[in-house]
Amino acid sequence: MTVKDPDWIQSVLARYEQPLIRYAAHITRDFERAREVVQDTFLKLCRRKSSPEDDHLAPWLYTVCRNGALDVRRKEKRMTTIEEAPLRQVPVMPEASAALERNERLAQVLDILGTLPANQQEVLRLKFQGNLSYREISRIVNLSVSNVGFLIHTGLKTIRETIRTRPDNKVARRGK
Amino acid sequence: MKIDANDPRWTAYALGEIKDAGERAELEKILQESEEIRRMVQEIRRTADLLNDSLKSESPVFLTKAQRNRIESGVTNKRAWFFFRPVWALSGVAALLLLILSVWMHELKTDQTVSGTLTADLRTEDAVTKSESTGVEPSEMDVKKRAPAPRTAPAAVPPAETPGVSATVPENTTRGGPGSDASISKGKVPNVELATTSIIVEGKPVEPDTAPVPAAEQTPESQLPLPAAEVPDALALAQAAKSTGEGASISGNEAWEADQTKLAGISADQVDVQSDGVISKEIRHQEGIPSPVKLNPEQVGEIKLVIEPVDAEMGRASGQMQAVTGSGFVSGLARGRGPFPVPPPPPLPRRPDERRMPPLQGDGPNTESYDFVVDNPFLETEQNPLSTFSIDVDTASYSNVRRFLEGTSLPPKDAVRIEELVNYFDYDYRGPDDEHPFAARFEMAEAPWNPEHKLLRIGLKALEMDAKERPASNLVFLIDVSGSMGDRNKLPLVQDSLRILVDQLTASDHVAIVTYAGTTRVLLSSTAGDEKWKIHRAIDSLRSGGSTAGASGIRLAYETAQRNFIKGGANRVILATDGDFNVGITSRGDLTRLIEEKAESGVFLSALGYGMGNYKDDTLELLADKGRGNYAYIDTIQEAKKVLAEKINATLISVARDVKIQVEFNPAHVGAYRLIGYENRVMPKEDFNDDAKKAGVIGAGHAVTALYEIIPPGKPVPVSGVDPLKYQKPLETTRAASGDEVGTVKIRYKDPEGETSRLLEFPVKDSDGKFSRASRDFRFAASVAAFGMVLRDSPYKGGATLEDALSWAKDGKGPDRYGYREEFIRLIHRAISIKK
Repeated sequence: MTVKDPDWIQSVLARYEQPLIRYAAHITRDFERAREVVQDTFLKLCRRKSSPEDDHLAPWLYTVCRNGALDVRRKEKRMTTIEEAPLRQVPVMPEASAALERNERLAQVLDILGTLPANQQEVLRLKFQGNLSYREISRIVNLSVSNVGFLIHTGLKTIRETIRTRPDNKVARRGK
Repeated sequence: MKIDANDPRWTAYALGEIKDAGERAELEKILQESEEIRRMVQEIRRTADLLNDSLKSESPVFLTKAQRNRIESGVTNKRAWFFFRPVWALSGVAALLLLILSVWMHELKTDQTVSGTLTADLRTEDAVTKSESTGVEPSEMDVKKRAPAPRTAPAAVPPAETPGVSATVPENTTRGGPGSDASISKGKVPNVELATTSIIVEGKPVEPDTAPVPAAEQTPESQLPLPAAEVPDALALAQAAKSTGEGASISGNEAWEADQTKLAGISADQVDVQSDGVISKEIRHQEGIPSPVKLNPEQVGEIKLVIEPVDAEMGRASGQMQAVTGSGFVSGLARGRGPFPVPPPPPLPRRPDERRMPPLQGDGPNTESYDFVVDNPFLETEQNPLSTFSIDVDTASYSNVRRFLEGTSLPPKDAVRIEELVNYFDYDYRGPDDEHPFAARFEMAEAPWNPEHKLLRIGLKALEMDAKERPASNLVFLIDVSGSMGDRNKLPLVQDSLRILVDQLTASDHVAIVTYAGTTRVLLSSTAGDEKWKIHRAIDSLRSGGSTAGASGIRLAYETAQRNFIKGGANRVILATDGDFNVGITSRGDLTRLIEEKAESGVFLSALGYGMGNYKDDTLELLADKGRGNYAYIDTIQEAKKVLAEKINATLISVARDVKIQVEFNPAHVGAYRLIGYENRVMPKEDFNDDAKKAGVIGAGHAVTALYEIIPPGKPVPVSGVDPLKYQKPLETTRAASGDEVGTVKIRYKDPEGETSRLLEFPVKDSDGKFSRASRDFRFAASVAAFGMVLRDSPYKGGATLEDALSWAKDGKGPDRYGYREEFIRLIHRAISIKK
């Protein structure tokens, strides 16, 4: 499959569109911008003479996306009016009582994730939404593998402990 | 080995990230022995699953359909041409009408020997505007649909706005003429500006059977009508011409038999093509429009369409049409820019030195000035002792370039206007100490990119004005609140800009806000500057939405300004837009006329561009020019602060207008010279003393810099030689030349309210100074110029590289009070890393 193959692009889109937009959104704090960034990412992919090999594709996409999102954020930072776009949307799940509980649990985890420091969040998303390996992540975010490991470890630990100590879903939002 | 329970490696292990077998074995051994750690690892895995699931549970966010389309089409095209609005796809076709020229020019069967220049400017309205401008009165509407005339032209190409048209540029209109060449270079689709539908061709062919007119005598207004309805068919003609293989011959096309010489034009802003004729200067010509300059078809042998994609990523390009005379002299004709709707035809060979031909200035009898995309070339002093140009204080190009670089792409070459980059910065020129509103300061040293050459820097510094001294202002903000302004870098930034401005206002100032979108309204009637709460409330209430079919937005703004006119004050309409300024007058000619009229009556117009990038950039520049105001591009809050706070005096108060510079170089000291930048400000030498010819405005406290690169006599000059004259003696220098003057700089200006210009003259001494000994400001300005030349890939950049520009900029940085120079240095770094 080459870059020129529209089917290939479709399949790449199908697989990565969601996680990339989400990933970008957490950097740009805005879905509009995130979509633009992801669009540009895919366009850059189209423009490549050859497609990255399968196991390089994800890191490539995330890296390009990340750079684009950081650029956007750098620019946006200069403006005083920064809307706080809601990043977490309500999970869409069936309404059974057990499911409801699970819903709440998932929502809680997302909440906690949102309170983590930005670098932990980023790395966690890359790992658990992007399904990337430590090595791939380390290349995308320009940190060592052990740094990445440390961030993931700490992040998961926080989530773990917060759930344990606050089973009732109330999460204190850390002011940003 | 004891590994702590808190060791991150447990998480890595839990997630299957320990690749090394030895390490894994070790960890497993510990696991076996520790219940606690086993439980922890399990918990880690559970948390990981939970996190996984929660992330999956986030509702999906998709790309918009338009975005997906772009990606999909990006796959199928070699380059991703994408455009602001899909409908524009078709308007590119209309640009091909430029080719009309080639068709017509060739048909001239006359032996008149007038030479001239041909300029064509093509604009067309896109279908989007058409569909949106329902509220516009018909009389003001330009023809949006050019219904194909019921002529029997070989309909090789359907009219402009038929969907599905593929805009193919006819491969070439070669002609077996001297020095002719494949006409359409690069085969890129020309861009079309989204303004009015008009075709302007300046210079013109002459009626076939008119008696020959000697070169010396030209009748300025020979009438050669252009039947408007035929315009789309000209394209067909071009096609026909091509297929007959006769180059641009239109013989064989019955549609044209009767009226071959229909070619004429005036400048773009004076002509409107309508469905029932052409309007120029308020007169409707059924048959076409008169044109001021004659062209000699013998001389003007070939019209070429040179199109260059300016930025593939942004999907824009500019096109230039050139007339090549029999002797191989090239002059620029038309310029247009816009999006690329279709994939370009394959590139064609181009004459290698075509861009280096000198422009028409100083040569020949024609008096038109026009836009060039090509850099000002070197001119030999003997042939061209006078260099004349209008000053420019706009800084939009710098903001634009900055925006590209921060978006990690290189700016398109024609977005880089070097004079605007250089003028973005403050320089320490001493202000005037006499009765004139500005002072001229000079410095000269070697040119750092070519030590054989020198650099002459002319600096004008206008009178500063204290905040307290500022005359009362009567401001009307005319704000585009259409849907497209909803982006974060547009309306919200406009609001921030207004807030910054309001902070500067006092009780004697007045501000009003007029918005235009689907409708026009006065959001805030003229309010005193100290009623800040009321003004802020209005600013806060700005909302975007609605189409951009303005209904008299600009008239309303001017009325408001007029009603609250402050005699002796600064009366301004400030237009804030993202490029879609359908302010109620869609005819560009009418719009610029209105703006000029109002400027003459004392209400000036400034333009602030937001989030529009390169598009419409030159239109806003033009409007601000006509409005005797300035044009700035506001891309960040910092820029807003600069333009509306720090430089508010300069923005609001003009201390001089129609400021022109004419330099006479001394051939004993200057073999050749080149004006760096100001390409679209260059004027014919006759215009210097012609007070009717407009020029730039200087605001209070403004500093304006112009740089000349000078080649001393005896050094090689990259210019083709000119034959010695047969009827005139070679140049004889006067006594003055033997002195140590490198030249004399003359400046003409008018007082803001005045009608007659005043003249200043400054002889400038030659200097051999080394670059490293020049002032910091000089070195910094040189670095900015070098940076601009590298970005434009100018043939004159000499040995300059980005790294050079960087080191010169660092050396010249100086105190840099506001950090602008530091920011520039960062931009150079960016450019360097992008280029890698």
